[in-house]
Amino acid sequence: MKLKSDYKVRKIAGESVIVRMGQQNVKMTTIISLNPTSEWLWEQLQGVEFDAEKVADLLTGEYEVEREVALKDAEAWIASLTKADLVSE
Amino acid sequence: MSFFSVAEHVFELTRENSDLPVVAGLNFGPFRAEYPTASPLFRVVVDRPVVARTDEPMVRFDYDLQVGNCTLCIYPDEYRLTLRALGEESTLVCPQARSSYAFAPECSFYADLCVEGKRTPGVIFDHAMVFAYSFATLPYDTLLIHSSVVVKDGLAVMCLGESGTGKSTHTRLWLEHIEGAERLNDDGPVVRVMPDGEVRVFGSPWSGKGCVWRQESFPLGACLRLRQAPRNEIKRLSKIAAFGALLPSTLPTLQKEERALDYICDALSKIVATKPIFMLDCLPDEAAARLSYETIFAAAG
Repeated sequence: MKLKSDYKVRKIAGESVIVRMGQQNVKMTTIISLNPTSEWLWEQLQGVEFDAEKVADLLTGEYEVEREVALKDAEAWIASLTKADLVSE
Repeated sequence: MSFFSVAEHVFELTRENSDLPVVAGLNFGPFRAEYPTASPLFRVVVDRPVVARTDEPMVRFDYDLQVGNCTLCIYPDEYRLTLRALGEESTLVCPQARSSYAFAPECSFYADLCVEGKRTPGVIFDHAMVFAYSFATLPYDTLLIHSSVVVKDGLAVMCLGESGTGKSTHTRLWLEHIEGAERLNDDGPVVRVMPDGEVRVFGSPWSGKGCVWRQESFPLGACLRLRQAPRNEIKRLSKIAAFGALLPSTLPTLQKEERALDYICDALSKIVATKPIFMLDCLPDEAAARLSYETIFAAAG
């Protein structure tokens, strides 16, 4: 999968967010808040094909975390991105 | 030539095909600036015929007004807003190339609003000006926010919400039950982060059915995002939630382009960093007005 390319991270009152405006028939605007780890992953994965394994690689490379835990976190992270409609297959 | 000043931004409405004055509605009266001291921020030529375009725009966005509807088309070399209401149609053009989308000070527009023989409804004229004004003032931390505003003890309180949520009803309840409260605007006030960081709310010519066109401004006290509910309840929002509460009340046509959205986000970021924003679930009753009033003014000390 890939991150959708049409979103950019904005700083709002000191926090990092992605703003997704309502589409043609869906008026709802969504604000997705990124914690520092999410934001770092978001930067690393721009334009890159990835899966949970790849995200876990990044996490274990950057943080002191067990592979098993990192993989679980990676899956949860991908699930939340998918729910927010920020990834494409 | 006619000059106007809204939120201390001066603009000019002018004709190029006659010496007749530009007749703007009564709502523009209080905002006339006969002798501008600074050069205008932008000008709108109101009587130039607009040649239709048939090529495909990069972005096309259709939306409804209270009366009528609009289409915004963004082309590589210009913006076009076509407005339709009461059987009439007009187009406002901003011939500003996307590549040089730098919001130059000489930002200018032309439109066929006042070409000879045309009877443009006020709703079209007003919304064309809303778009031109909002577009031209974006780089100056200036936002037109769809809301109804009351002033109490020198502080402005803005009520926001989807159409039909009861913004005007809530401010009317303040007028009826909170001593000394008065209305500043009932539909489209202008909020501006001043160079010294103060957030001020200005009256404007765009006030919907409320017809309050006041050339006055007050510091922003708080914003209330209204939702209809079977009970009254108020909650202060976190900064990010506050941002999410304000963003939908900015002009939708300006949210269609990244560069414009950047300016909107910057201005809102400054507002939510310093001002309290509340979610108010409410009934249309006196208790709702007292609850919001007491909460806001307790917070303000």
